Amino acid sequence: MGLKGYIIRRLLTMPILLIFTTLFIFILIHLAPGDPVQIMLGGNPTVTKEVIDILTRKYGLDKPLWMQYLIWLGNVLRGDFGHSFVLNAPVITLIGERILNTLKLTLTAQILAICIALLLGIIAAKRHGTLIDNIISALSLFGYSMPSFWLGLICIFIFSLTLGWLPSSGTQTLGVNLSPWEALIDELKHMIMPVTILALNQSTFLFRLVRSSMIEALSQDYITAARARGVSERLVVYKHALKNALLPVVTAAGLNFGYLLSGAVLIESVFGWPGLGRFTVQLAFRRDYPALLGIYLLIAITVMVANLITDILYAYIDPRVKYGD
Amino acid sequence: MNVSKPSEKYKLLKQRRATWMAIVIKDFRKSKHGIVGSVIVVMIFLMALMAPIIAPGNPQQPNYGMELLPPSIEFPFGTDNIGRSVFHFVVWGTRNELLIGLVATLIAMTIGTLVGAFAGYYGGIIDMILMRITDAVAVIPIFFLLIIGVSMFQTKSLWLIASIIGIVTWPYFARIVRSEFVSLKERTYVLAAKSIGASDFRIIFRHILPNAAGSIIVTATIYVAYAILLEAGLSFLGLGDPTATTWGIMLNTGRDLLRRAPWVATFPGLFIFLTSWGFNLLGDGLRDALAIRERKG
Repeated sequence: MGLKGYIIRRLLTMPILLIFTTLFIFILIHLAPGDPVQIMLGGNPTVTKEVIDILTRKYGLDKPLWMQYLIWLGNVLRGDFGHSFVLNAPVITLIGERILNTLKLTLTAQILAICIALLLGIIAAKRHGTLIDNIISALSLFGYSMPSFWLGLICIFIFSLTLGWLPSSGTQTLGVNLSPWEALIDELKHMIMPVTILALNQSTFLFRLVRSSMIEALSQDYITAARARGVSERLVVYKHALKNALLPVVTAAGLNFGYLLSGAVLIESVFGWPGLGRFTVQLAFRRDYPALLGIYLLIAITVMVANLITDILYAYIDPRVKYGD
Repeated sequence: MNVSKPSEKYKLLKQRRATWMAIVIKDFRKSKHGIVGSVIVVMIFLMALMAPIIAPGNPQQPNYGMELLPPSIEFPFGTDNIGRSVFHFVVWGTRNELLIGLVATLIAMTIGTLVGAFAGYYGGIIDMILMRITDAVAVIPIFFLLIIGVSMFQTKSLWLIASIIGIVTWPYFARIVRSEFVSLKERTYVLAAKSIGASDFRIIFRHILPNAAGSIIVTATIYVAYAILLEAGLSFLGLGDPTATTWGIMLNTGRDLLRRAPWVATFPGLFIFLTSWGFNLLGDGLRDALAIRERKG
């Protein structure tokens, strides 16, 4: 099967996947004891029975679960992703700017993570089995086990509260007039800590992949052949081996985009970053169930599209890939 | 084989008697990661077990007039804003962390193993449906799923949080177990079992599953760390059980005290990290040991 057929098939399976994934959260939400309206109201005793009844009808919660799901699905197909109960606005308008902030954070972190992973992975693979390799590998497990939110707090304590070098929250300094150039510097300063911590977490996972694929690439016959022809070691590593090791790393980074988004929830909360993750946490506190469902669906679509793009790019870059299966 | 000396004969006998377990233990002892990891994990378990001896008293006990004290001999990790001893909180919290880690892992492992085993063994349409369900759960960034799931419950207990963590994180298990089953079902011992009329159920659970146990154990070990990190993150955000004695809860308290009392956030975080690191190292060591066994087998 060609690439076109593969893409079409992937696009066709996406709705099925979306139905499964939204059904899962629907069931999970309704497993919770108690009426969603009362949960949203947080057990406020001043709310009368009538208000609860009106809201129950408004959100269709008096209907059986399967019908609620179908109604919700119908709304989604008409482009209505739900209405926030707390903020009294359509979910889609609430998400716009926040998703951009989240993408700014995660995509920058992704690029930085790939760079860190490549740098350390190549060093470790070149010195495979030596002390340096062992130290870097141990450090990667160290970083992998590190709770990023705690590291964030420690960094805020050191770099913001003690040294005063970097701002501790937000995307920019508010209430000051800055020239465009100063504004850019200001924005970058706000990004340093959240992006670096998010990237460190992601890079520990990618590092292991770079290391193992570089070790494998360096043991291939074409590398031996290149060395035998007298190609310099530098060229062997950075041109011949890296070219082949790069592909799985970039693919894994793309397929791992969901993991990055997950990490962003905590980082955004620590650094007061006005993104989707922090927003979701705020809505979760208020138990804004319709809005949470809308966000859930949008995130599912985002991750699926990211995965699809990764797979297509993969096929495009590597002509050896065949989509028979 | 011609064996003349009695000592050599004895050595051979011993070699033959070297069981699977002995080989695994021997290889495990060669793994530095495994050794360090098991030392940390054993110490964490000891801390949980001996909490009443190490830190006698109620960890939730406020001490009026002793708020925000820096670390001292009386309060090794200092005190928080209502005068609770952070040291007591951390030591007693170990019990809850291990409870969450083990319960969540057990749930994820059970669901994931069942789904993966049936999908891998039967293949075809069953495989397709089960794996699409797995994909559907795995596609959502875990923290979003967790937050939405947990927020729907008005009263949160640690058991509930552990269960939800287990329910949303099983897909990885399912994928690993499935891939093991796909390759193991082609082995001759499965064919042999089939030919004497063993039921599918028996083949799956008595013949294939024990042979997939290695990778399940490695995954489970790493999952304990993962579950503890997830719960800590939830509690840190304020979505955990606010009355529980967990490290995440103290970290949440310390977050607002960062300027005045940095020790309140520092120590619980340090222990979250240490525990997670210990289980990850242990998993690494086990992977090395079990992989060597597979190559020999």
